[in-house]
Amino acid sequence: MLMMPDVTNAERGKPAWRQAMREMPVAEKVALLEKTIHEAIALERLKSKWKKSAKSSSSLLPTVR
Amino acid sequence: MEKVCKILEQLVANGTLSGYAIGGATAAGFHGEPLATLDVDVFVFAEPQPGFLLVSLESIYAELCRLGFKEHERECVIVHGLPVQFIVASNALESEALQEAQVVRWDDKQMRVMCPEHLAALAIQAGRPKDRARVVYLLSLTQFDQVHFDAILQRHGLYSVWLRWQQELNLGQ
Repeated sequence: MLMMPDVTNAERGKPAWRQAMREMPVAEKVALLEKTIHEAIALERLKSKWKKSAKSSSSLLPTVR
Repeated sequence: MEKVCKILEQLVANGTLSGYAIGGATAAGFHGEPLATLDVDVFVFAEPQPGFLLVSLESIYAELCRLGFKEHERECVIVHGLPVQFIVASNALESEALQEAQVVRWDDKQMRVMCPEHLAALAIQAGRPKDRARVVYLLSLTQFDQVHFDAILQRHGLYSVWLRWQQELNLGQ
């Protein structure tokens, strides 16, 4: 989900927000698309970090026999 | 993104590409709301070199390298900080989507983007779970041309698949 500082989570996804997205000028839309990709990549890296962290944590747990 | 488009247009102008069209989630997001995606999918035409069976993107990568874009990440080339994946149009639907892409102009720039109807047809052709959500989203766009969409599906033998999806997704006809 695109993190736009001036839009609350409650507003995002609602018809008015969707309409604003669709009527956005091309130049702004292109800039937004780039921001979306960078955010998605950042989120993916965070997920990957969490997964690695979870794996290393679980390896410390005693094995149930 | 603007700089990526400039590079793509430059590749067309210098003959490296005979054409291109932005597809995938980036194109879908352009027509409506931004969608989460990790790269820019750029569809291109490419033919095998004489005497070879496989299509190579070497000429594109070589030109990008010459322009200073040498960094790769998985199957993408990093162009002005954005991962760009070049996809060779490999069937009639992809070729048609590429040829009929919309030319979007703003200020002194332009880019070629696949239209929503072709994007939806390509999603049906790909048939992954996320493509179902993509089709539902594209259908919700006010500019979505149902007649054009139906014609594309008929032309490429996807209409029966679409009818099945409509039932499974409980979409009104």
